[in-house]
Amino acid sequence: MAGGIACALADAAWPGARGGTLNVVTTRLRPGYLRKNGVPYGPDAVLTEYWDLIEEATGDRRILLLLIVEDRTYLQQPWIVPVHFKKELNDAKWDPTPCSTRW
Amino acid sequence: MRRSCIAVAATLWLLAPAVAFAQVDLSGQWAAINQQDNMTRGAGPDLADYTGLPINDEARAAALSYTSGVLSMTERGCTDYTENYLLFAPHNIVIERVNDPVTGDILAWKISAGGSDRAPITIWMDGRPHPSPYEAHTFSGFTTGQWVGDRLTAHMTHMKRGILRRNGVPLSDRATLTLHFVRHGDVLTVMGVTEDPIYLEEPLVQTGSYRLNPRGNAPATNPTCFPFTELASLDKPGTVPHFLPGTNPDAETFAKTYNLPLDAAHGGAVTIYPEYRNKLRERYTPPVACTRYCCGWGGGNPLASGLKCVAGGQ
Repeated sequence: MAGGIACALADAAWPGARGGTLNVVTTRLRPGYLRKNGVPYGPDAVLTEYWDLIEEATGDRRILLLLIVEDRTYLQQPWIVPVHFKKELNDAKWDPTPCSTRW
Repeated sequence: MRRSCIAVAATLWLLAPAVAFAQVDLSGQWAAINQQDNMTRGAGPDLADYTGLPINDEARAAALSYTSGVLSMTERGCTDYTENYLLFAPHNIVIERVNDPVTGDILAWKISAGGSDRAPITIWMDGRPHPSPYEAHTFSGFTTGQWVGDRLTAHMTHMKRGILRRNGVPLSDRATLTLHFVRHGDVLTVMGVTEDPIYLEEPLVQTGSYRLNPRGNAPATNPTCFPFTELASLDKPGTVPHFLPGTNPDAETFAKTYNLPLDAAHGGAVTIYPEYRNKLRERYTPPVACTRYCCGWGGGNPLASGLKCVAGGQ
């Protein structure tokens, strides 16, 4: 399936853990693209995500997301990319639109 | 499907105590992964490419006056980058734990320079206060840290004037840097939040990851730099390579190469959020053909791939 099968664990619930990391492992993804210019991943790719919530001294809240893609079909080693998100104050910018094939 | 989820969960549960303990040890040789922002970290950004930077007008003006020729000046040839270079440099790092010789407590963490043209970073963990704002600013800055769960958060002040990007986007000596170190297994991720009341409209957030490398040999210190004359013409008194306002010949080169509106290429806080895409919708026309980096940096390697690199729209 396109969305794959995901298993999630919040490590704050682990014995001895003090962090707030959400660990997600997704398998059974449909083949797709690692990059919009066509670099592929295959059907056996495993996507591991670590979601960390970070609150700055300024009050800004951010998500630090570490993505690790392992794919024996197309990758020689894991593809590792950290990305980040800033929490919006409200949902004023949330404007979902129907899927379109036009830019 | 459910069975595989349970298996994964059980495995992680068994490993949990070891993982939780290991996450707080940052020491070791770390190899830069560089699979993100590869162009910026490696070959370097395009001239006047300020995309993704929340810079203000003053920063933009200063950046457009910059030419890398200043690095050929004898007195600037050994100048370090400021510590925020950690966030966009391609180099491996060494992290060392400094123990108090009497108590054995962790006194500090030291992050090597490792040949990366910046000074080592010392993160003091003993609760000492930051110095007076009037204390000298150094290339190492002054940094204190504390653990927030399994994350080390460090705050740096007393930085020198430097750059935000290697194409000359400036950083003022009033800037501060907050670093978050998060370790998951053998992957260490660093998230940096740079704040600069002089040149930034809002904090600049950057991330980079490293993989633990038991065979790493990155040096803990930089080799001594010896300045020498690269261009005799730059040793004439009063000579500082620069562009006067409006004279930078490459001010629009990046924008034209990728067919971007100039204000998008020249950065600013408004340009870094997804909704800016809506503002560009009426003005943007995709280029008819890829003309640069179409086949990888330097045109790729046609012999290795067996493919002819198509560049320049040909």
